[in-house]
Amino acid sequence: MELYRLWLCLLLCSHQLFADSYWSHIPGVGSVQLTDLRSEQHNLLAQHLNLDLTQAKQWLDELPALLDDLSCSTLDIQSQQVPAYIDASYQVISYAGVLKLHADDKSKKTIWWLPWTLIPLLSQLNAQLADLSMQMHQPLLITEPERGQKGQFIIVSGSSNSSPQYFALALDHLDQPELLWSVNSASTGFEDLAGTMAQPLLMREQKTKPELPALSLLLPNTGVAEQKTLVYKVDAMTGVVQARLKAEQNISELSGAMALYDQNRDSTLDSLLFCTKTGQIWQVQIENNQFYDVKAIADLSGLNFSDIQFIRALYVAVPVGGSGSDFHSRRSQWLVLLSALQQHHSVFVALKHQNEQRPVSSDLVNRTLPQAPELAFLTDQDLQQIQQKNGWYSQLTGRLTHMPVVAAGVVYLTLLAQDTGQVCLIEHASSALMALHLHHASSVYRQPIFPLEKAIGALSVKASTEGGFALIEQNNQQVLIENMLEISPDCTHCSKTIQQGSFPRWQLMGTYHSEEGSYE
Amino acid sequence: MMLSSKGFILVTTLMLMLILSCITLPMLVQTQLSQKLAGSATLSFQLKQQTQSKHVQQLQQLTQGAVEVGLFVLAPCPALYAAWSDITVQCEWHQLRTTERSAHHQHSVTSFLIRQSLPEGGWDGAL
Repeated sequence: MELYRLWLCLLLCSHQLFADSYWSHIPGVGSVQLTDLRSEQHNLLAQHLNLDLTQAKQWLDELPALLDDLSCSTLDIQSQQVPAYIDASYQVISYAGVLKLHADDKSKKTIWWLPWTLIPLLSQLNAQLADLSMQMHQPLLITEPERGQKGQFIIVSGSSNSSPQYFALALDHLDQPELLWSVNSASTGFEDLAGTMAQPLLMREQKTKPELPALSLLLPNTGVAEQKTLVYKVDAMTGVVQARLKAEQNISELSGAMALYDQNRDSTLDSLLFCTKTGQIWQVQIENNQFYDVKAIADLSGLNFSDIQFIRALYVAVPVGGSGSDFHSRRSQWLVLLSALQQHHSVFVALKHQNEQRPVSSDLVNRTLPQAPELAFLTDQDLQQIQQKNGWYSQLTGRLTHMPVVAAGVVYLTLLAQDTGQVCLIEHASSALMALHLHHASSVYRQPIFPLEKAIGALSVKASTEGGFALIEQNNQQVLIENMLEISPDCTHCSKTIQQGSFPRWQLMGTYHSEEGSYE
Repeated sequence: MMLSSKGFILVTTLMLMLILSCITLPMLVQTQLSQKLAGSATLSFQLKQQTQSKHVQQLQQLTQGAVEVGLFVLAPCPALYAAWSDITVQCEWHQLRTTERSAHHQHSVTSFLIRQSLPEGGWDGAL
């Protein structure tokens, strides 16, 4: 009997301990657990949902089931790890603004953060998650190294397009999430905010006060209609607007993918790449809260993109030799790497960023892998075209799940081919890893595509015990490629295994002599 | 007549001696100068070679990690053919200066090098 009581007690306690928690922020009240509301808070919730008190109670009872419906396992592979100083067992994922922190250990505990304005719209979010023509951007995590303060962890997220808002959540303690700030079209300075399906960009200001690095965020306005403001620059801690990028040209349907880079290579990030969903790419300079010199870089709208997933700039020595055998002349220049959605699959583009001309989609060479891998032979003519034209693109066999990794001149892409009928079920999806040559999109390894048993998270490179480098999956530390290859400039298809022993590498940049004095 | 002819010989001899010395002295000076010039080139070449061989030696030591030199700035990496995502490869600029002196002369060779390294144990992450 005693033992039975003990068991019962343990069961009840553990139930309490492992229960999922549902958090939101009631304006004027603060952070609340939806399962633990006081009567006046319950009234506020009922008002907000336009329900009477008993219906609101019923809504709360059904909330776990509602959120289970929302869960999308194909999206879950985009989860980001919560830093170890908070709790390494948790991962965070955003379902169009609804944040889910789920532990992947035995407890399976889940913490939900429901933005207050999204609560009445929860049932509509499913449709957005299932829309394969749009990219679900994941939140930005600000951790200790960026913030410079111990124990701090901030999540900045956009939300769905039906109730656009950006918000920042302080999660120093997982059991006590606090809303730092949130902005929507009712907030001062954000009157024309129309769409927030984007990943905010972090920007570190030049240090004026050495004790505290000032952090800013760049928030794109991704609405469908033509907007007056394209990008807001806000203070990361308060959400107060510092600057705005006004639309002077006719730019509409901004995508949520942007990238900051250091164009003049002076160690300060000074340029922003942004694009429209159809593939018009623009660049703007940023300095001291000023946006200036908006320039069109390329117009890829001929490729019929529905949304841009990721965009980055990479500084590379690009071969400019005339033919396949003459491969030694190279020019240092920026490449714009971007992946975009075309129907249900992704397209990866490597575009040369040239100041004098504005390439259109026909200036790119189609390097899509043919169905039969033996046909994927690179002819001299293809190579010449890539070198003379503005880069290449390749249609992938699935949807890109993570930002591609470029390691030693090889682009690694993680693909997921979803079942169009059951988009959110990972069981119906197949995944693969793809490795392409950065300069001409040929296969570097024996085969260009490695089929995978199950979907993988973010990629990373680890030193292997055999003296080389291995490509692994971050979450499960699963080894994907044991000995990574590096491309070599000696010939078009040359590659060799990367050796740990070859690092550090020294490169002589220049030598000069000087003489002083005289002989007597 | 005798006296005047004696004086004439003396004056002539003196003038001849003057002319001769006028010719010889610059020749001597010139020889010395050209010797010096020739020598200075050799000395300068020797010093240059000495400095350069020492510089090459130091460069080797530097790349083997035996010595450390002035590391003056952390700069973005130069463009590579086998490119890495920007945050992956770390680049340091090193300045190696070798100076050799002789009595009133010095010759120095300065090289700029970039050390590219991958973080220990690999790196995690996106572009």
